[in-house]
Amino acid sequence: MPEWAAPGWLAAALAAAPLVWWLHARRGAGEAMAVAALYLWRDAPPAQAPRPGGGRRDPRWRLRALLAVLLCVAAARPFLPAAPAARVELWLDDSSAMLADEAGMPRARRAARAARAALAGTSAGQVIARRLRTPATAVSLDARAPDLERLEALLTPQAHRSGVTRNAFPAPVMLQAGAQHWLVTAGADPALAAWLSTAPVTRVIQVGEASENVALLRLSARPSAARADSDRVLVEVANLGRAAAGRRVFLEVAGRIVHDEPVSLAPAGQAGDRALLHLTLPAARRGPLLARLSPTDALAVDDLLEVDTRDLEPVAVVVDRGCGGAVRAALAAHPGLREGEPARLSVACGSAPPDLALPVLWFRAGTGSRPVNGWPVWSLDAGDLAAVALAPRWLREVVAPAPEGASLLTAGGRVLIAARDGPAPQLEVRLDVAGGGLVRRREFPALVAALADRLVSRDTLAPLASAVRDAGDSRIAPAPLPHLPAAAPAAPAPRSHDLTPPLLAAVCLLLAADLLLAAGLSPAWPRRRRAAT
Amino acid sequence: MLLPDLDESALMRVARLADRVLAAPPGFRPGPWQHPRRAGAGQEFLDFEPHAPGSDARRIDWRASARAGRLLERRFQDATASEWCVCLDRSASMSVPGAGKARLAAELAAALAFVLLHREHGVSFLAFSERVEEVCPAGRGRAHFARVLQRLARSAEPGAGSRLELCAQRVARRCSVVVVSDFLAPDAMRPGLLRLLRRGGRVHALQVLDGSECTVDARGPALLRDAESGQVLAVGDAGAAARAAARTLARQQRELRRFCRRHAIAYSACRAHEGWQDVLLRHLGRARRFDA
Repeated sequence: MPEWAAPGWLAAALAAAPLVWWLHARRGAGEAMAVAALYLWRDAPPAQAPRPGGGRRDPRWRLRALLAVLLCVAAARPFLPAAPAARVELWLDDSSAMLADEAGMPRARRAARAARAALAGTSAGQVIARRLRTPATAVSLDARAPDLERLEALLTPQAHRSGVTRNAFPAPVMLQAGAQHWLVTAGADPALAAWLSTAPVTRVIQVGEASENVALLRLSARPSAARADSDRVLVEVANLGRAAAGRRVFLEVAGRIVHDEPVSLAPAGQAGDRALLHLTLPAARRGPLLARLSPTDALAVDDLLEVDTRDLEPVAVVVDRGCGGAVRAALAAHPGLREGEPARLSVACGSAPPDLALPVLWFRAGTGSRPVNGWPVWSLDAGDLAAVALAPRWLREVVAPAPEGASLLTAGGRVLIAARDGPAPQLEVRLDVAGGGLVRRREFPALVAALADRLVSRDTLAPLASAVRDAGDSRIAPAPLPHLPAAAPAAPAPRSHDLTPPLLAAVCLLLAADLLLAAGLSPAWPRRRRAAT
Repeated sequence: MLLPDLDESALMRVARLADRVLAAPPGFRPGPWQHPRRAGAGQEFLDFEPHAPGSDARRIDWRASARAGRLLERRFQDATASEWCVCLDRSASMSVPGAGKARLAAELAAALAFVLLHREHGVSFLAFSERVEEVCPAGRGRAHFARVLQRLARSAEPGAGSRLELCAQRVARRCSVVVVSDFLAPDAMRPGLLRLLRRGGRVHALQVLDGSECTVDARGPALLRDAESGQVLAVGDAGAAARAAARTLARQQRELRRFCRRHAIAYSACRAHEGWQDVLLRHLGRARRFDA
């Protein structure tokens, strides 16, 4: 397809043909040609009815319209690229290493500038930028002056606080054969070398010099099993740099430092490159727990980890008065549940569930009870509930209308536990708690705990607040990459074929033809001359 | 300049050539009316003149010589000299499609006048269209040629018709007439030619055509306007119309030629691009053969 140096003239080309038509129609309307003796022409075939637009029109208007259109097209200066410009696919390494700060500038920005400089020295006609870890995202860039901000944004990892989703690198066969593949990377990911050895990448633009980084890899807290009024806290610190490092670990709750401790770490890969801090904090100080390292290093984002220890608190439960002592005892024995407000769970007993905007554990009452006539079977939707083993001889089923919702536990074709989802999920337990022998079994508190965990969507028996970071995301030291085949030399700027001269030649030919026709030298002329003679 | 090529040397050269073409009598055959005062090789007695030694003795009138006491010869009226009228068409059709026809016609008229005057004929000149526009009475000699040229050179608006019959009223009896015209009229001016014939003299017809009368610079539908009447005709196909007009013109030319042959009118046709010398000499030769 031709390209246009001055495409504005194409609009004039569109208007040229109607203009020439109008001029000829205007000129031809009502103009008569003088002849010496009109009576000689009486035998001529009569004229057709005049057109609405006017009278006779010079049939050469088509030739002249074509001439004008060609002239306008020539003025638009069309040209054809001599050869298709090279297409470059720019693979951008969006690892966390790109967040490293070097000399006051993010490494991603330096990489964007390096990529732009590399593109400026070539004749790339089209540049497609893709994230290395999410290659489906493709952005077309201006080959001569790619947008630095867009490049930097593509180089910045999308999720860095909770760890990058480490998608696999694209399969080498997915790299299109008709393009040159360049890689912009910090080279910190050890898996990159293996990928490069198989991928048809012709050029690697490696940026980054900083190699020292200490990261917080783990921060977790759980209630202490030994002391009910305290929590156990675990902090893991790792040195991912090439030199030994020392940091101070600060723990803050609600902005107040509750603990600080220095750590000394050996270089990465050696013994002592990691440190585990086991701490005990009073449960009364639960709140947002923040761990940070000081001083920070090139990659500041991995010097922080935060968890909320308020999730370790027992879940408040409101219990219906109709519930018997067995249910209350099971709830009271659960360390992760407590009766109180504000309630996050409602336990009801009766023939109708409470109308609350809370998850409800409903022990249904019926008109009577009967033994179950089969082994209880957990459905696939039961999840962790299936860990509770039940025997039919312990169970009696209440006599009540069939429940709604998905069945979780059935026996002999009858539903014993059913689940209804919604803003306030509900579990309907159709077991006669008082009549059967279940309450005397140790499986009953386990069943109540499992049902409560399902409703509040957390492990209420062993709560854990934890934040973990992959060590690979904190590695910023550029690693040596495999030797690549020599990149093709930068092609000289493609020379375009200018289509203006042939168009002008065509215009000249048409002009000459028009002049010849105007002079009467058309092929019909000799015949007319003979006829006149 | 109406007559750019009509200089005296060219006229004299053509006049001499015309003399050679018309070497022997009757040349431009005389009419029956003789010049009353000019002596020449006629049969009618004019007067006596003294005998010159070497002259033909048979011309001596012995009876008159005896009475006069000296030798007298008889002179006779010149039978070869006569009166001619040159009629030039100045209608608008003579200027369409170009000025070539009008220019050649004027040159022919002037040259004919010169040749006739050179041969001692009396020449008058008429320019006509739908009326008689210019009249130059009959005369002889170089001075008269200047008067004819003066009338020829007068510019006037092209006339809106070609009424040759009006000239017949201005032509003297037994006066021969040369009509220079394109004869582009529905009747080819045949009535006018007949009326001129009835004056008793000989009639010459010189038809001047351009060759492009039946061409128009258009194809397809066209509007045509008559140069003389201003009437407009719409034709559907200008090319086909031109071919039909050419056929009509050729047929009219054939009819005019047959008409002239039937009525002993010396007829010649020429094209505007031809030289007046060639046309004039060709016509004189044709007229001589016609007279013979």
